[in-house]
Amino acid sequence: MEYKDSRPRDWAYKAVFSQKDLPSLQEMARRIRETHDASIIEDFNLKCEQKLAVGQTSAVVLDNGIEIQAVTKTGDLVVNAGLQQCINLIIGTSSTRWSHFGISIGSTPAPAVTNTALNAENVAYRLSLAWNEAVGMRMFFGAISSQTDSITPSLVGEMGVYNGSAAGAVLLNRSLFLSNAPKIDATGDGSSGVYAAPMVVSAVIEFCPVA
Amino acid sequence: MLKYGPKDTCWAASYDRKDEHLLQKYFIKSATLGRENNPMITEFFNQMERKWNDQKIVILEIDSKTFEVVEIAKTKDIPTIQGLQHCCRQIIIAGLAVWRYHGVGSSSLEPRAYQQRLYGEAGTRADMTVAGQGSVTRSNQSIRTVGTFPASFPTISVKESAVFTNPTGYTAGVMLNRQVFASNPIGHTVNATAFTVATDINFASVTTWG
Repeated sequence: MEYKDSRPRDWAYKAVFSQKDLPSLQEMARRIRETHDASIIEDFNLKCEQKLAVGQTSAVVLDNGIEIQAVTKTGDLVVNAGLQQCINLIIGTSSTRWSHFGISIGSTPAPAVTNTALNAENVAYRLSLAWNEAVGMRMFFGAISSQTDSITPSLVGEMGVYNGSAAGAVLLNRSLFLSNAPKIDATGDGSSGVYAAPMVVSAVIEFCPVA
Repeated sequence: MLKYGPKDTCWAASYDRKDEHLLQKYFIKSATLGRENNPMITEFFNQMERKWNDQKIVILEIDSKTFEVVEIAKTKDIPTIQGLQHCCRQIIIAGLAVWRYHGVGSSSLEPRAYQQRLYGEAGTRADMTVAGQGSVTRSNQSIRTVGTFPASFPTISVKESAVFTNPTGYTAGVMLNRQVFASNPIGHTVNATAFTVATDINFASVTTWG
């Protein structure tokens, strides 16, 4: 019998959408924040999986009618400093919760548990979390990229969740997209300076008891 | 990336009654040293492991006075699903109940991740937020909780223990973990020994990339 590795994993998605869908994406995030309806996040992640399975040329649409243009997925590493901050939140010695996604063009080195920041990050690119929800033993984090080219890099090679927008904030996890980073089209709509494709980043972190 | 979940290791230890005040003093003083990488808690867990590893005499020191660990038990069990769900909510949401109480019991029923009670609980749960009754600290990537139980605690063979958010009962709060010392429980006789139960829940047992 083939061995199937069923151990829990942390993972992250990076999905690109059409510019016209940005208001709908922001509305989706608002509904998640206000209703804590994690099924919307589950649907988003599921549709990202479907898009990965059927290929970039086949259409996959979210429950709210938004079509995913492109998606990539990677493993994700929770770093020591992030776990320590999680425990500080659990025992109440800190109240600074996860609040931002950091993104950068960096694609090296491989993530290590000793990482405390992204490799090639400009903190000005940090995105406020569009959602952060706990469901079961999983935590879901997501963010929507800005449409302003001075705020978002055109290529995202790595990303991670931080507990602040400034340098020195604690990094929870680091996701590295080695060779599959979809570009955000900086001039796709012909208007220089405005990014045509909004991007949603979504990370899932899971705790599961083991003997 | 493979990520193994949190692991739970627990030690139960007994002390002579005459040393009970030193045991309490130890945790009163440790409470003054902070709740992150507290050196006295680190030393306490090191001595638990030394005793478990068949060291003949294991001594803790407070104010230039020493006291000895008489008996030790150790087990490796699992956090509960509900406990980890509560931890995830604590990470995201402010204002939830914290892990505060340590209970012990005499049941050797095998632990399961879905359990939410001790099956032979006795006596009063230790309030670990009260200096002298224990501590809740972080040591690197671990939550370390210690509950201290006085010599006046009812006679019991300590076969199970757990950390709770609530002081009594099983319906209002959440149980973080359940450890069972089925094969090597420590015995406690009222007014003869004091004892401690110490838990280390490591959230990063193995984490790799690739």
